Amino acid sequence: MNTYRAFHLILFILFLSIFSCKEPGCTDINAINYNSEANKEDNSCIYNTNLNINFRLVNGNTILNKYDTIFNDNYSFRLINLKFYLSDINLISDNNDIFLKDIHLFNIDDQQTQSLSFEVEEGKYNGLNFGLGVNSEQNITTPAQYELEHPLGLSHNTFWAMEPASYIFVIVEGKMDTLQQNNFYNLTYHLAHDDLLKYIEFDQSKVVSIDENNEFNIDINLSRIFENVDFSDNLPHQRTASPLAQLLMNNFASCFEIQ
Amino acid sequence: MKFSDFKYFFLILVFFSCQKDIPYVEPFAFDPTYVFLEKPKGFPPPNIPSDNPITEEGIQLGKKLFYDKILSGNNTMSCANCHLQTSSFANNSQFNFGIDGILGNRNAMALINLAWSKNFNWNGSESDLESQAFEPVINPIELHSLNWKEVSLKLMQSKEYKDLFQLAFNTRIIDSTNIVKAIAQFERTLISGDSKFDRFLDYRSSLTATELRGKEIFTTEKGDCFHCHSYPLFTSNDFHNNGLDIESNLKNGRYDITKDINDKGKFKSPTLRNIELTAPYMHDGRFQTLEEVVEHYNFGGHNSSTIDPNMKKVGIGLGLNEQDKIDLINFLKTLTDTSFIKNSEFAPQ
Repeated sequence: MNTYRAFHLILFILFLSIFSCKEPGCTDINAINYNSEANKEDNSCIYNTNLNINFRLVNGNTILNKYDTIFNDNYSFRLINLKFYLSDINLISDNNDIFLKDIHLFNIDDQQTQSLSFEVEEGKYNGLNFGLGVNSEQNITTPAQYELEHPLGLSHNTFWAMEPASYIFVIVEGKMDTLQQNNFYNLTYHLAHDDLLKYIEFDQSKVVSIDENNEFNIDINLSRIFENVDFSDNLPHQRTASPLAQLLMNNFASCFEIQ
Repeated sequence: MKFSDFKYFFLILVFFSCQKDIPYVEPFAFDPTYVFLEKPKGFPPPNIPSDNPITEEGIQLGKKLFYDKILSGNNTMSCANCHLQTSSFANNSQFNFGIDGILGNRNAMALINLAWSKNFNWNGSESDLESQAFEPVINPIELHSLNWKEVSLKLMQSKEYKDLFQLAFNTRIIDSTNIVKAIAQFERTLISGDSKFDRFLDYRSSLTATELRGKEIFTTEKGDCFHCHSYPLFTSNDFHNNGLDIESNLKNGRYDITKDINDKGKFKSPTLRNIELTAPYMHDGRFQTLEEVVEHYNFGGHNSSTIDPNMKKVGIGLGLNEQDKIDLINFLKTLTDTSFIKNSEFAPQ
């Protein structure tokens, strides 16, 4: 073989070597970390998957629906209305919290608000945290700044417009009988004040993966909401965190149980 | 080539040279003028459906239809017969007669700020403004047209209406869908947000001492009015049993729509804007004056199984004295927006 041919053969072999080098990476276009330049799958693909947070109203071990009655030794309470805000909902991970949603309104009249659905990166997580109520930044806004159906919008009737204005963090309304004589009276608690915001954190390790039913199930056990409450106490509509308001808010926060 | 070969050619030439000049007609270019609905201060963005954006042409057509008696079966009544601008587009009769002389059984609701409503009619039977306009036109006790086809055919006989529908909807075919869309566009422009109270909130006006006391009653537990009539709409747009009737006399109300027994006796809380102008009051117009309304709440109302939880003084009463009642009514009168009833944009051409 003459020099000319040898040279070209070497060039050809070199050329083949260069272009046969495979770049490893995720080659699945549906993956979060899809690498368009990768041509060798290295099983590093990461996917987003569904995660649901489901809320369920209960009275002890029994499902509680609108118009159901909570009975105990001291009172009977027929639930008619329940609304509450959750703010800054996060997924807890080893590195940092994953932000899920800034504000959510649970409304007993709206089934769709009793479950939240998110797309999250598959992996291991350590739990959930959220604010019960509206955070201070949100609470200086007004419904005029949102579309009607936004959680902070006007259509939900969760805003006190009179001074000092505030969103109502928790609305509990129903009929109460403290005499246990089938003599119900109207009872409403509307809790609103920046100081009433409570932070709730659940530590629950969860591996979230594709094709799995990934969910956090949270029961709201309303049997606790009136513990130590003096029903003769009035709760006026003021933006002050009265002792009764604090008690109710603490009680309500204690109603949340992760399953 | 012979002359006979050209004869047909010449015949054709003659024929076409004798044709009159066909005038050139500019093809119609659909170019509506979109309108941005200006919201009063303190109001959120209005709810405008994507399939019925507001245009100047739609508004004008809708207004014309609103005031046109052609929508009724015998061409004697229009929407405006029951919804008068001077009464804030409500009616000062308890009930109204339809074209057949049959008396209705519901007090005509005021048409105010409907672009912010999520339900319509006393029992919330309709969830959008377009749907709301369908019923009264064919209702036997209201405008009682035979059916919407009859209405469409009547309108189609008018070149003016065909022109107006073309300008508004790019069609000369007039059907019920576009008729109610036009009416809804006009109704969405009926915005009231310049009452004395609005100007007070904006530091453009002051309230008198009695009005301020009345505001205090309205916005605190003393009167507890704000739960169902909250600013800025002065309605919750929700349904409440406000203690009008005892259990055995409860009317169906919202139950007619939901079939939920817990909704019996519940009716939509109307706006209190311009309430001074929209007597009589309640779904059945039973109260002639604001004094009677205040007295109803002051006495406490009648308890029943579906009484609203926010009626905390039911059967007991609010305990307002005579001055309190006067103050509260004086405050309610600050919700009157005279520019609304005088606005020529809302009046017929």
